[in-house]
Amino acid sequence: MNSEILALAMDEVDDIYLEDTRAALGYGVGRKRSAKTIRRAFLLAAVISLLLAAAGCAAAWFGLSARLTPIEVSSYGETAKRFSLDNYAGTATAEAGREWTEYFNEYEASHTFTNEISDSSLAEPELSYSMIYGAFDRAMLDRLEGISEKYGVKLHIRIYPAPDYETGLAALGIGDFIRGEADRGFKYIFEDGSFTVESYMHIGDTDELFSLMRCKKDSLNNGFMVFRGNEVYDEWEYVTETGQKVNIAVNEWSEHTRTLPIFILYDAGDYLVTVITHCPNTENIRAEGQKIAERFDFAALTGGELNTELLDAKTVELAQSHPVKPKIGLMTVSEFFETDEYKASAAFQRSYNDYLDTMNQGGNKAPGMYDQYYYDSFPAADEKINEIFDRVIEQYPYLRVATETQSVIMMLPVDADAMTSPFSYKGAANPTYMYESISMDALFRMLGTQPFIAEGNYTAVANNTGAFLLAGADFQLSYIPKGTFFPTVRFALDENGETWAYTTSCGEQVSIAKGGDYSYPVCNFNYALYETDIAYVFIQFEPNLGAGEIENILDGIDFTKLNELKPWGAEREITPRYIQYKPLTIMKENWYCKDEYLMPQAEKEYVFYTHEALCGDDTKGITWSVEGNDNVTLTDNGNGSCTLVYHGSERAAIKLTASRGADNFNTVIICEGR
Amino acid sequence: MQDEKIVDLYWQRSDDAIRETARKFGSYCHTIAYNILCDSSDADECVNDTYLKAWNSMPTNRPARLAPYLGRITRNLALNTAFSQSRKKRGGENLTLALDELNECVPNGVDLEKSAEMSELRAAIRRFVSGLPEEERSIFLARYWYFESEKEISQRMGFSRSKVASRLSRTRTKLKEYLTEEGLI
Repeated sequence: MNSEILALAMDEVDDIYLEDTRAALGYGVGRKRSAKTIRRAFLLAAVISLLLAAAGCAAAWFGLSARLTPIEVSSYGETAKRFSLDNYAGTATAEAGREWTEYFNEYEASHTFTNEISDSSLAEPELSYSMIYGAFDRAMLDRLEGISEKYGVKLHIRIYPAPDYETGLAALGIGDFIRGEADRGFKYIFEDGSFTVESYMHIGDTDELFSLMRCKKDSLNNGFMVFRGNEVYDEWEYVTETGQKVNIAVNEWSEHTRTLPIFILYDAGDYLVTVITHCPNTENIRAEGQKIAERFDFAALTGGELNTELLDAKTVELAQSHPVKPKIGLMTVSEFFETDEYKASAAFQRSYNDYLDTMNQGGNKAPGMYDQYYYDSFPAADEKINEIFDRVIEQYPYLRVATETQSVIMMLPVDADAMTSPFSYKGAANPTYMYESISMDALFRMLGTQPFIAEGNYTAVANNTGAFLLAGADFQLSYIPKGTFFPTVRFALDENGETWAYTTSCGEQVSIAKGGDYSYPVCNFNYALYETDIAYVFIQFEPNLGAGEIENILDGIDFTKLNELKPWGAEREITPRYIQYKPLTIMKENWYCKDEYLMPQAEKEYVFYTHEALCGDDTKGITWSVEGNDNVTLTDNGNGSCTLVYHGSERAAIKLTASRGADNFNTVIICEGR
Repeated sequence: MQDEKIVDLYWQRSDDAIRETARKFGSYCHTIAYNILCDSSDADECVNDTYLKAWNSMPTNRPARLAPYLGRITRNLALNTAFSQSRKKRGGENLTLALDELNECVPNGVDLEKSAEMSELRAAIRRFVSGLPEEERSIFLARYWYFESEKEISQRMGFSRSKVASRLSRTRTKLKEYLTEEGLI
């Protein structure tokens, strides 16, 4: 058929046009004005690479070259140089940055961090080092502290997330340093007066994203860039109208990225200032660069003394404007639905489901049919989910959010043979994860609680706001400190169900709300609420559980232990567990390998299950097949599972498929050779 | 992770190669496959097949940019799957509509399979696309390379739907004239 031939003949269209179209369609590249968000990520390096993914350098002029230190990182190539934000090349700070960057990249490339730091217990300042510098384990922390000592440079110990612009300026003791039309706001402020702004500025006819970093010269800043190309910058010195001497460097036009990156560098005494943005016009570039430089009052960026009390007071002020109400009488589930903690969580989960619907347009689920819930940490792998998160938080700015980059997630088959489904979510780019198994003692230690529930198979998520989730087979318990955003609450579809009070076996009274009958797609959960002076304990039960079954589960929870919990942090001891999980190779939802999820080893048997086999559903007619490599023995166990053995000598990718009639599911597995 | 690091992972035969590919390009490939197959499960399979092909082709290939490289694999796999299905069984009307539109580029009675070598046709279309104005090119590729619907293109690119339709119609006419000039039809 002619049209089919034409469609196939488009195979050789140039890459750059496919990329352009991809960007125009908004497939995960570029950034639209309407999608602006202020992300709460801690690794600043990512911010800079976002702006300057295409920047290279061979500038041999004072401005840029004075910030470049050669580095040895094999994957960056022989000519790689580190552009430091904090001090000039040759200084102790830049040397410390070089050593840390080299170490970090090599170490990260050779370690997966899977469970390697499970038992580490961090206290300040190492807790902050871990977050700010991405030091994931003991060895990295030791090296970081060693570098700090060796070069005599300070490490950041405190990061204040995104205060409003006026508060930030007042706390820093400096004046407004942005001129003209722009979104004004801080991204982070550090304890020594270093800070980052990432926002939009109206330049010409467009809104350009810009980053401004002010970094103290004697503190190691984790933000940096690696230059490794041979592109040329036009670079010159410029004195602004108010008399500040800056260096401006404009990269050559990149046809590929269609951007014209521009640097403005300023020495502010104790600090170095770096502005990175894009020049919107390709003509009269020097004049355009100077116009952009005039949009900043560099004199205002000099000096100032950080008043941390102002930053702390702002948090307190926000909290006081929405004071936490102590427990008064028995709070009902309906009353809980009126709290901002619930509304924020429900708003997030609803938007998340709407997003899944959008992703599913034209698919096999009708709109509104999703009942997936997001449990993972923030920032999420999916930018859209982060946007939803930011949008909700903008509506509830007084709610505290977790500042850890990783939630703690684990799976607890105390019985090693028990199969429990790990958390997963659709719509994000992550494959399903394998979570850690730990003991009940370790679980309660991690949550910072006394044992309050009997041994069993649970999945848990905990944030450093003190919020946690404990999910069992039929219920999901969320401990939500008042004033905290913890988006694990399943939104209610029937918020006016029958309710009653129940005194559990521990003597504490809870409020129960019975959901309506299960009527697909309306899935009415049952709820229970227990309130303490500082937190809500919200429990959701599977639909169709009877009143007796709900009360039975509640009798198994010692609410007095939850009532005794102190606020997170100073009074409540925790055992932080920073775990960067190694995801499965590619493990589709509903696929489980009983023995291990990690790379199958040659000559070892691995049993794979279909969801039907695990759930005891009908497995008749399920057949298995494998493609991609001949060195595989595949045995159909006849019960919805198969046993796979790889015999090859080299690492290989194989595709495992289970079929039943026209339906089939498949996964790609990387097998380790002999 | 940058593309070349992911390519390095393939060359090192690291199992992280596919993990990183899925993380960075999984949804992109899925979108391409889904636009063609209109079935989420089939699209998933197509994406997995893409990973398999990527694994088997690197080495020896070392693509400079992974998105178009993987996108091509996905698109070809998805098109071959769709073309192997009967017209009736094909997932959605989006592909069928797009193919019907492409048919307008070839005069009635001409059989491309006989009139042109595939390699010549590929080269001609490559030249044709390169010569299009930027906006027109993006709309054309969005429709016939990525197989987005007119409605989706108008929403994503910020054009009116009538503008998208008229641009596409004009480009199809140009393509027909170009293929005629090149002696391919």
